[in-house]
Amino acid sequence: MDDTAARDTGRRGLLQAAATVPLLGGIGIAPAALAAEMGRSAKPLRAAFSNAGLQATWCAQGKSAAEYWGKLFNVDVTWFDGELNATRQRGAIDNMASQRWDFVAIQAFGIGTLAAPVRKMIDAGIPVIDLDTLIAPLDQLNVHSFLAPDNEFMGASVTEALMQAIRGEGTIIMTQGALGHTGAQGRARGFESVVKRYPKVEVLDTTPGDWDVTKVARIWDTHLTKYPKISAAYFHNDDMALAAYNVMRAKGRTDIKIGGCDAMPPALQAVLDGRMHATVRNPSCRIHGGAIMAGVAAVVAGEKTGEGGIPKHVITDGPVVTKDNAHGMAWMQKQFLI
Amino acid sequence: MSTPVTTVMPDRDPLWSRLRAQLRNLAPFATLIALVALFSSLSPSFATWGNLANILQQVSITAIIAVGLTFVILCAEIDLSVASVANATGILLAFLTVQDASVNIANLPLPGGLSIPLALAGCLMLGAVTAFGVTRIGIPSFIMTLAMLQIGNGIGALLVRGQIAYTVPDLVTTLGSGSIGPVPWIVVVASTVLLTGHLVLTYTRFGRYVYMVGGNREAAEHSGVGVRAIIGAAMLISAACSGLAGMLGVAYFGSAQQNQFDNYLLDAISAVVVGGTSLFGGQGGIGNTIIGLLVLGVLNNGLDHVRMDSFLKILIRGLVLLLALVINVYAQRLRSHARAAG
Repeated sequence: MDDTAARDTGRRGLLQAAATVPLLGGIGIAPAALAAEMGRSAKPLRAAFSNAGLQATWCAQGKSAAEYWGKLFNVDVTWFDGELNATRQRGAIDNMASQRWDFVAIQAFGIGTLAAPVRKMIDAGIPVIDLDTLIAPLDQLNVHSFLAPDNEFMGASVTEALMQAIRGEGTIIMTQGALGHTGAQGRARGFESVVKRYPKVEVLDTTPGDWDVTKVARIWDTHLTKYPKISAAYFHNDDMALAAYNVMRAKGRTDIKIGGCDAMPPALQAVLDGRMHATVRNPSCRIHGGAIMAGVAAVVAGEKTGEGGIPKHVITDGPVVTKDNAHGMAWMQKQFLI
Repeated sequence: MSTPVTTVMPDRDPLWSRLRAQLRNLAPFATLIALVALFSSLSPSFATWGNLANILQQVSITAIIAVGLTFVILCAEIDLSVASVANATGILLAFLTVQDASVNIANLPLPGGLSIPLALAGCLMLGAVTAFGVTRIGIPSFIMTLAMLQIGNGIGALLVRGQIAYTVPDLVTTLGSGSIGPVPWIVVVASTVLLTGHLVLTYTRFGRYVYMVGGNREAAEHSGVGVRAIIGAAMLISAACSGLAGMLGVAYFGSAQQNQFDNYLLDAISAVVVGGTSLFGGQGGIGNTIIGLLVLGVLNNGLDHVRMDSFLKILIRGLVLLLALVINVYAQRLRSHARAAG
C-alpha cells in the first residue's frame, strides 16, 4: 500500500510539474526519465487522437507532440484528421468509435457535433480526453478530463502587453476568430476586460476574421484606408496577425503594435524581428502531450477523475511571449514541452 | 479466307458493345468491389455489420442531397447551392425552435412542430428563386446557384450570428439521430428518398422528360416538352432534398451553426458523378448515385480503418476520385464513338 501510494504521489507530482509551467527544461527533467517515472506501459497501448485539422500549424504541432510523447510512453497513436470541417470530423470520430482503443483524445472543430460517438466511447469504458475546445458542456458529457488554456487570460494578457506598449493611449482594433468558437469568445472577453480599464484607448473595430487569412487581408485593407491612426491591433491567432502585417507593410503602416495568440514558431520569429510586439502561448505540445500522460495514467494506474486523480478541467496556460523570452519558447517547443 | 471475319465479328461485337455501353455503370461498381476487398483485407474492423451501419449512416445526409442533385445534373444543369440551402434550412429550423437558456440567439420559437413546415417552406422558397432565375431570367444555373450559395450562407449567418443552436423538434431529432432497433432512422429516410427518386425518374412521364431535357434539349422542346418547367421542377426538388437533409443533419450532428455543411456540396456532386451520371445530362440515375455514395462512403470510412499517414489519406482520396472520373469520361467517349459508328 505504502509503496503504491508513494509511487502515485511521485507520479502526480511529476504530472503537476508537467502541467504547471515550462519548468521541465528549466529543472532538468529529461522526457525519457519522466516517462520511466510516470509508469510507461509495459505493453503497447492503442490511442486514437483527433484535432480540428492538420492544415492548422497548431494542430500539426500537437500531432507531433502526441506522437513524441506516445513513443516515450509506449503508446501507439492513430490519427483521425478533422480537416477543419465539422462534418468530416464527425465521420472520422464515428469511425474511431467503431474501433477499440485504450484511450482517446479529441479537439472538436464544431462544438456539439461529436457528442453522440464520444458518448458511445465513454459508455464502452474508454477514457476520453477533451482537448482545447469543449466537445459538449462538461455536465452533459462525462469526459475523463478537459485540457484547455484559459482563453480569457490569453486575451487579457496580450492586450495588457499592447496597452503597455502604447502607454495606455490611442486606438486599437481587435480582429476576432469565428464568433461561435469558445476560444474566440474567451479571448474577446479578455480583450474587453483590459481595454475598459484604459479610458484613453478607443476600440475602432472588432470585425471577426473567422481564422481566415484571406478575409483578414481584405478587412485590413479597409481598416487601413478608413482609419488614418491605428495604435495597436490584437488578433485572435498569429496566422491572422501575420496576414494583416503583410497588408500593413504594403501600405507603409508598420508602426502599428501587433499582438497575436498561439505563439507558433513563425510568430516567435515575427516577435524577434519586431514585426509583432507580443503573442501568448497556447501550449499545443502541453495539451497534446498531457493527453498522452492522462491517458496512460488512466489505463496503467487506473487514475480516476476528481479528488486524488486528474481534475475534470486542467487549465494549461502559456505565458505572454515578447523579445525577452521568444528564444526560450522556441527551444521548449522543439522539445514538445509547451 | 474471308469466312473467319464474317463469323467471328458478329459473336464478339455484341458482347463488346454491351460491355462498352455499360462501362459507365460497371466501372464504379468494380471500384466499389475493389475498395471493399482492399479494406477488408487490410483491416479486420472494416468488414463488420457494425461498420456497415456506420457507413450507411455516414452517407445518408449526402444521399438525400444527392437525390435532388441527380435530377438537376440529369437535366444538364448544376446546383452549387445544395449545401448552403441545407445549412440555412437547418439553422432556420433551430431558429424557430425553443432553445436552452444558455444559447445566446435572439430566436423566434414556435410551439410544437410548426417550425418543420416553415423550414421546409423556407427551402422551397430558395429553390423557387433559383428556378425563376434560371428558367425565366435566363441566368446560367452555375452562376444563379453560386449566388444562391451566398444567399443561403448569408441567411444562416444572419440568424445565428456566429452562435450555435442545439435544439430541434422531437420528430426531427428522432429521424436524424434515433434508431429503429439497430437501424438508424436517418438511413431509413435516405433509403426512402432514394427509392422515391428512382421511381419518379424511371416510371413517370416527368422522369422521362428529365432525361429528354438533359439528353437533347432542342429535341425535347420540339417534342412539346416544357423544358423550363422541367428544369424549374428539378431545382425545386433539389432545394427540397437539401432542406430535408439540412434539418436531419442538424439533429444528426447535434448542433446548427454557420458553414457546417460546406463539404456536402463537393461530396454530393462527387457521389452523383463518380456513380456514373453524366455531368452533361441525360445519362445515369439514382442507381448510379447509390454506387457513387457507397464508393465515397467506403473510401472515407476504410481509410480510417487502415494505419497510414494522416496527410496521405487526403491525397489517396483525391487519386481514387480522379481515377473514377477518368473512367467516367472514358466511358462517355466510348459511347459517343459507338454512336457515331452506327
